[in-house]
Amino acid sequence: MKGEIKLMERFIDPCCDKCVNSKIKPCENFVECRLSGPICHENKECTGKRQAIIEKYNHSPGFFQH
Amino acid sequence: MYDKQILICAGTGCISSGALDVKGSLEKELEKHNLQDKVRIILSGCHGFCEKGPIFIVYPEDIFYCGVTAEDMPELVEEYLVKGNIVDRLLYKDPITGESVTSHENIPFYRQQKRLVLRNCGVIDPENIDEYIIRDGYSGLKKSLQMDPKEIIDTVKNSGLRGLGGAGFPTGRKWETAYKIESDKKYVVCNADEGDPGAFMDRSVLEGDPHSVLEGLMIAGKAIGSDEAYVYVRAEYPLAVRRLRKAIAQAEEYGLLGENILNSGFNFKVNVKEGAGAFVCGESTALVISIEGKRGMPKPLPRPRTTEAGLWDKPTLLNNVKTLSVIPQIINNGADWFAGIGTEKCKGTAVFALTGKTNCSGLIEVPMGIKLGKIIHEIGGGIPGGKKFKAVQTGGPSGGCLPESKLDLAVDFDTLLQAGSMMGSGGMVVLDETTCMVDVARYFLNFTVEESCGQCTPCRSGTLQMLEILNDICEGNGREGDVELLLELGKSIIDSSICGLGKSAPNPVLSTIDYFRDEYEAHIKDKTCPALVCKNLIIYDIDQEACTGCGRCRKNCPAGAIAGDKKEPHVIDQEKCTKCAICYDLCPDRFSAVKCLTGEKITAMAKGGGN
Amino acid sequence: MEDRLKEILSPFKTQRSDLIPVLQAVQHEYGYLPEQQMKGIAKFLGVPESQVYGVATFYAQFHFSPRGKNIIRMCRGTACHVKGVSKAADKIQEKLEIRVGETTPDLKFTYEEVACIGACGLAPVMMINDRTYGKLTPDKVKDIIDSYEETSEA
Repeated sequence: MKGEIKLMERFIDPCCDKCVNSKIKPCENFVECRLSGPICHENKECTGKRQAIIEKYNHSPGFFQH
Repeated sequence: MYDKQILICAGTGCISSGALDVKGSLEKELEKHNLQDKVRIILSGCHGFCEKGPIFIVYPEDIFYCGVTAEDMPELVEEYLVKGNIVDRLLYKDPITGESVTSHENIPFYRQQKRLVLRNCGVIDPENIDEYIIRDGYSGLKKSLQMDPKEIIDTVKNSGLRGLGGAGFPTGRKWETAYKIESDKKYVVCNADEGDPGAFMDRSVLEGDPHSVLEGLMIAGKAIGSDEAYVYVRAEYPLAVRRLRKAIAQAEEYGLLGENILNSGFNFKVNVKEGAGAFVCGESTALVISIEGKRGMPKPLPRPRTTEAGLWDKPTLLNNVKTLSVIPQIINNGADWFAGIGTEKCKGTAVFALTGKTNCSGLIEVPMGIKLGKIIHEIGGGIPGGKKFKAVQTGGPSGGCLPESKLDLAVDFDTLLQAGSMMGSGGMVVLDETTCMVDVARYFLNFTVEESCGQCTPCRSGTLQMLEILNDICEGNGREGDVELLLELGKSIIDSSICGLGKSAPNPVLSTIDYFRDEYEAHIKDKTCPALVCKNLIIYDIDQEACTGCGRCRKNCPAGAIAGDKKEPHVIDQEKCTKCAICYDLCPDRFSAVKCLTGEKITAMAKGGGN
Repeated sequence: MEDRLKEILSPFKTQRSDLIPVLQAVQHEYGYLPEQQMKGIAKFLGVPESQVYGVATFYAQFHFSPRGKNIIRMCRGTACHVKGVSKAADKIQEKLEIRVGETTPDLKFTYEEVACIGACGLAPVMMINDRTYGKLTPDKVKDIIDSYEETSEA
């Protein structure tokens, strides 16, 4: 699993060759897709890759917001 | 996956307290214990509690360490990360009870706060766009791209958001005006020329959450039909400029900024302009002129509103950093969410830089309508050293000083204005009994005189006249009628200056006269400075009975003004004394032999001295 | 135009709005704005020299004589004022034997005072180059200056 996650270290990286987002041809669902994607196709591994980034960076629930 | 994440605050405050050395040392220690793959270090933006920096928080358990140094790292890693024992001496200590507090949630400084503008400050790594996206970043932009401009503007209008730059003008109405004007080109400008002494919230937002400002700019651009923005940042904020530039580069790389954003056909470009050290450029027309590469002087009257004819005479929407950074959340959560916070007329939160004579100082965000006293005594933890509260200065050189009787005030734009002060940039400086109100007024006037662009006479000459009168008063040369003259001058400067800087320049003087007139009178009539600050009105003297002749003052007096044999009471030569107060500060508490005297006591001492 | 200036100017467009960034870039490179370079800037942007000077003299950031290797900026903000920054300020001026706006003869230090650095939580504060120092006392100031004296000699 770890080896595959390395393919997508940042949200900008495509999860697999089905991802169409690029600077030249931006995907309109880019933002949602990063959080709850993939949206345009179904693939558990691709979902896992996104989740891994979220887990890695979501260190704190945020504070002082009550 | 990491077992632990350590957040080290890397705002300007904590960096100057050694945060980067802490990081370096921590990395070494982690490697020593082979923990580098288990623990992730995040450099975050400002936590607000700059005074107790560097701030060091360990997640997931949320342990709040403060004032940590590089030297603490071996112990902290060994004891806490390896063995799991909390290092008590590095925890926050309650100033009243002296007890250790483990989580920030239980620190009074944080407990009363509500963070919207500062939502991500100190939470995310500001140099990592992914962290921003995870916390719903750019979702507001996405949503706004699917909205009609009218809809966006209505949301902002209904939220009740008012400009957080200080004046409190309704943001939605400003956007609507900019939207309605037809033009081939419109600009959005972010005012980050935070020049008020005592304010640093814009800096913290740019350093701690730069993407929120970019997202706010884009939403504003989409709403009014603009494709280009400028961020005008003070050159004194190098870290903020660097992080903002990095954020722009990342957003461009992600296709969230530039051409055809998210395939919507919307284009947007953000330019950064560094100011060059002129306070007056925070004024809207001066700021715009400065971006054009000219001398940053406010446009003379009559002048069109910047919203109608601003940058290169094009319609220009000018908003403050904080206003823009809260916009994405309003779009995301809806107008009602925001309107549910604050008071009836002032929605949302206010950000203050709470500094001066308080136990806890730093950046705070509170709901509008919070009591002034609560900010000072609960969040600020009261006045240090058992001293008495005297006044609180808000709004910087445009604001005023409020006395103890106003501590019950529910703080918002309107109440502060009615009380003779203002929200302004959000500086909130607490003054205790050792602060001279005339000196404070003089301090602000001095600032305005130096920063006046010199274009209009009332501001250029009027403030100088006021300053000279204040100098006279502080030096003991005040005359009867000076206070009345100050009031008259102040009023005419307010009436006749052409820009906001001049119009508000007399406020610090007028409000201190209003609430502390007796201090002015004491300086003028009795030639005394009750707070023992004004050098010409005080002397230092050694109490012959209390002095044991330890020699500390004598050895450290830079003017060589203190004489006396070992173990014999010392004497200050008043002719030589420069009143630097070093002897006063150095005299051990158990003797307290050096006294500061003013007014009649000086005369009494002179007589008693048998001259 | 000398090559060094040409290189500094190369990323800029010849438009009026680039005047302040150009001045900033030139000052960053030379440490101040030399007369010859001011002429070059005017020529490059097609703006009269008088106007280039007009703008440069308006902003506190620009300087027209060589400055020290280390720029000390003492904060005179409100929080610093009420927390007694003047003692630290006096100490520096006494130690370096220069006053506000002056440079030491060996060009090691320039001493300036600014309205507010924006690190009020640590008042009193000063900046040396891009580094901020907080909670200043006269003794601490002395040590900080000493550390710069040493490193610049090494």
